[in-house]
Amino acid sequence: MARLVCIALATACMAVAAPAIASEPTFATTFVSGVTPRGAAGSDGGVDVRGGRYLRVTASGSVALGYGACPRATGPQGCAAAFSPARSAPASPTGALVAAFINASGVLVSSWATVGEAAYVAIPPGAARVLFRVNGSTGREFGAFHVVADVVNERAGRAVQGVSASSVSPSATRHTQPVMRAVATGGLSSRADVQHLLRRYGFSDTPANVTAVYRAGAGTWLAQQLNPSAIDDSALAAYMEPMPLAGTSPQTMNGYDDYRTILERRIIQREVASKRQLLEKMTLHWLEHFAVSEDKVNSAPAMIHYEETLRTDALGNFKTLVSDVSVEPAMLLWLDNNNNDGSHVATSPPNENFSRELMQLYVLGTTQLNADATPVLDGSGNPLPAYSDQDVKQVAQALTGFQRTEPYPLPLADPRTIDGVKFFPTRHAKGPFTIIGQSVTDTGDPTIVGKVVGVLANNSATAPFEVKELLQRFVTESPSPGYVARMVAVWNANVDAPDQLAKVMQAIASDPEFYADKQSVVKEPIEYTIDAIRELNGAQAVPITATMRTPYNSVHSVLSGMQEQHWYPPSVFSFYRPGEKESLLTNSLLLTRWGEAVALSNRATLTTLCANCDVNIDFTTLQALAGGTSAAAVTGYLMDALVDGGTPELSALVQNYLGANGTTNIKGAVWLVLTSPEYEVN
Amino acid sequence: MLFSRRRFLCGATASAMSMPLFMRALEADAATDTILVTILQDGGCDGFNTVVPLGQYGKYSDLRTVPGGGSLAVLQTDIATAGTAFDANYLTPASQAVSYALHPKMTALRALYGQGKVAVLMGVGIPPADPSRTSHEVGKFDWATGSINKLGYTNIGWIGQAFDTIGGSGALPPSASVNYQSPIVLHGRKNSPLVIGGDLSNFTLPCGSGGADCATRVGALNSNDTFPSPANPGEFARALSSATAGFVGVVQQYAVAAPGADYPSTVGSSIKSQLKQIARLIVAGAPTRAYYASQGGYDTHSAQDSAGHHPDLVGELSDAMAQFYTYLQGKGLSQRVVIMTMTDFGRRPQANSTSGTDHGTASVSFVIGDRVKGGVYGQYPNLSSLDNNGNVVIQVDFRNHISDLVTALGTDPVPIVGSSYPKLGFI
Repeated sequence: MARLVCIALATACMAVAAPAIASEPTFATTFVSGVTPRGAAGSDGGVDVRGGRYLRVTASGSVALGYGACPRATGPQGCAAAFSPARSAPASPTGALVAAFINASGVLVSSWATVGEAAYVAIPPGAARVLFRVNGSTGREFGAFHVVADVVNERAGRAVQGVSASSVSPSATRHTQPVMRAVATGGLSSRADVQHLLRRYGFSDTPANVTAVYRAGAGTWLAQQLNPSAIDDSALAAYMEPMPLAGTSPQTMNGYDDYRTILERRIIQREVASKRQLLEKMTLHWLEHFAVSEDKVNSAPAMIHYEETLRTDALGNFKTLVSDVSVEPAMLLWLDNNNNDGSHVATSPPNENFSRELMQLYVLGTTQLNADATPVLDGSGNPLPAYSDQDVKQVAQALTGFQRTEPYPLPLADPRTIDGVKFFPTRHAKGPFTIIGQSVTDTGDPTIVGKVVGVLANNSATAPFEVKELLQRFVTESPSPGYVARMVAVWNANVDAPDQLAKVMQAIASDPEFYADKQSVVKEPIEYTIDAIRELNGAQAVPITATMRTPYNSVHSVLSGMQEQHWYPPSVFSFYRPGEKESLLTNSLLLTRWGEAVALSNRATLTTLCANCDVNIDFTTLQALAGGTSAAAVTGYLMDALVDGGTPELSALVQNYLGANGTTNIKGAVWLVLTSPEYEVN
Repeated sequence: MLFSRRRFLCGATASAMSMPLFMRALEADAATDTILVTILQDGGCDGFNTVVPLGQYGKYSDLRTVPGGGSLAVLQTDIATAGTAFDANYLTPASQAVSYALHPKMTALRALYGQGKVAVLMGVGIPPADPSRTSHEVGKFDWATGSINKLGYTNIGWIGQAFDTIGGSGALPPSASVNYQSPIVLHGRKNSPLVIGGDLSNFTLPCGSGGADCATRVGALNSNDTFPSPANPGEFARALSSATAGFVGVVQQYAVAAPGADYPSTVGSSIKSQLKQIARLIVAGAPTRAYYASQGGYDTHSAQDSAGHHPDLVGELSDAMAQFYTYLQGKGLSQRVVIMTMTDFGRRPQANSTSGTDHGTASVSFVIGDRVKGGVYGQYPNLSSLDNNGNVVIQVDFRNHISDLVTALGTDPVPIVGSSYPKLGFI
């Protein structure tokens, strides 16, 4: 359900989805301008202060924290939260109300400060919105909520949405100073919000881990994930199958599998078991964005190196990422820039494949864009192209002269030192070049890559093109132009920062619109599979042994069946176009999912773990976690783990199916959930 | 601005009684209505080596020289040996033809041409009014929608639009794709394609183990009250699941009725296998009137003539289309079927330094069928008159081509492509 909320500064109304929680706090806010705070709490001074702006907050209703409720009488500072049975209640009441202001670009212009109930808070210059949070006693966030207000030009004293007129001071005089007006409530950052965050910014998690993140605070989890190198992932190292570096031939590397299978299994293992979940999800985003198929590259060292580069640069600087990818051996081979000769451009024009896709798919897209990603139109209403065929030729010439070195002879040493790239000045077309109206100098060395990428990345179409794709992949397939524009501002403000992408991802998940559209996107097969394994506690698998490498027992075979192996996108257009994830669900692809759901649910066993499976789902443990073997307990657990509570219809279906005893037919119950429409969407 | 690809799903339940009106049979005689089979040559097929201009051979050969050594030009000796030369008059034997030649590997198609079953459309492409026509995304989108400069503004295809007017009949949607994908060209405002992939016998309900049965899963899909609104993606997944379950039984009946054991071998060829599944459905009497298949690999930026690339692809396509047509002819069904090819765009006349070609403009399209008036249509582009980007000028707007095909389906093309694109007259 959406309700229309109007922002006076904008010309359109923004639809905001109401949060899907049972009880929601109501905070009446009075925004008064030009008032000196004096007198006891609850009164206002009624005197204009030139240039000063203040915010007054009055709390009403109740605040639900954790699994309990916060009685109104104690106010926000006095919330006594009751948590789930597995955790003891805190010793003392908690819940300080804090507020911070952000400007129109979403950047904080104040620090978080405690707001006493019914007190005044000074609105700093440049503030466009205020955010509220309820903090726990140790300063960590419990179930935060957002009350978001935009600064608008409006006559003071007018009653605003959600505010009773009586709370407005009669002495507040009419004037044209901007006042705040409540425009939207992001609602309580509930446990459902946390499930949403973990599934979008990672591959989901078990109910227990979801609860743990909820208690620690979603902001804490997010801050940790944005700094992956500080996360200890040594347990994964013990788990991961090593990439064999020696073998009798490049095809068969350990006497059984060829390296392609191992390459695929390793990235699956990372997605299943790494604690650096956002890093893995981001790596997936980039490998889909720069979709490269091993089928054409046909080189183990090149693919290993490519994956490591994507992961290293995933949350870094975009220009660095694009420059690095441009000279990856895998990319040189994939788009025919390897040995692309620019020494005789008039008679022997260089191959344009990489140049064209660099612009069309990787950096700026085909059309000129406004900052909110709407297309720039000509007088007849047609979109204007972002670049011309001449630009494609110029970029193709500029990027000539690169050649990957041969990775063999065997046996292979560390592939990172063997499969390098050389630049041959004699095969490089000499600049300067003109690219979309910008002149690019050429010193006849590899620095030309950074210069070309710089021109393309600084084009006005790039930020909205890239940001919109990030939003479409991580948030909603139809992001509002306002959301795009806010994130573009963060992108642009950090265009040379080494952690530019981390900053953008932080802003995306800190925006209220991040939580506005849950269960709104079809899952791709990788998410469908990895999420299920993690949600069902399958991340606790055993290290790969030689007997586990049969195709039938591998999660790899499931992804292969569903036609989404990481390193085999069908074309440069990846597995699906941004905004068209529904194209992954056709009649036949749906039946394929149902078939692979059989394979996934078959992994479950109640007695012994699958000795030859690379990932196990131990249902005995699951039932212990479910708190019992009754149909109701197991159903409740499966609903929470797989579908965020699901729907009454699905719950009844599964519970009836399980019958009186939850232990029998559990594979079938899992299959019923995995094939449900509720599970198909993220 | 961005259109959702959710579409109304036909056959939400298997019962024909609940079919909307447009799904029911129309006045036209279903037994003789045209069945259109569309094949996408994915990636942008090089028209100049698919149909070689014997009348411009000198210029052609110059342009096809690979700088640094080698050539992409098809040799006249190979053409003579294969016997693939042809003229506008399809009755002219290959040994006497002087105008054009199919690639030497396309002998099967040349044989059909000699029977007057093939229209060769030359110089077909997207006009320069679309500045992004040399990009894959835009090229494919324009061909699928029968429009230009509309990427991001629509998701309706010209075949889908045709069936919005014509309607469908029976328990399956009016169109079907056989390559797992749901192509834009088949999407209408009021109808969506059936999407099959692989062998027809795979289109079954795989049920869970441990006792879960299909009835439980399928029965739970019938209620459309679970999700809050029709626009909700969960509702899309439910409706799709429900429709799919309904289609499975119907498709399996057709699969059993037409096992295709007498179809020629399709081993190693995806396009041959796709066309075989289409042939089986036609033989079994499926009510579907438009099919879609695709053959990938045409984006030949480098090593265009190497194994598995352009020559092998067009040879495979020629064999696939010929065996499909001949099979249906043997069943007495070729009267209804019209096969057409389309591709993102053509390629650059000048070979590049990696023995390939880059994105270009005009290409060639083939239309095959008993109803087709065999011969040459359009105009082969002038290789001496290239534009600033080294591309040929298109001779036939792709929308003219679409006009003929929409007419063949049985409706007026003007509402779809506009009034400026009269038919070429090959059907």
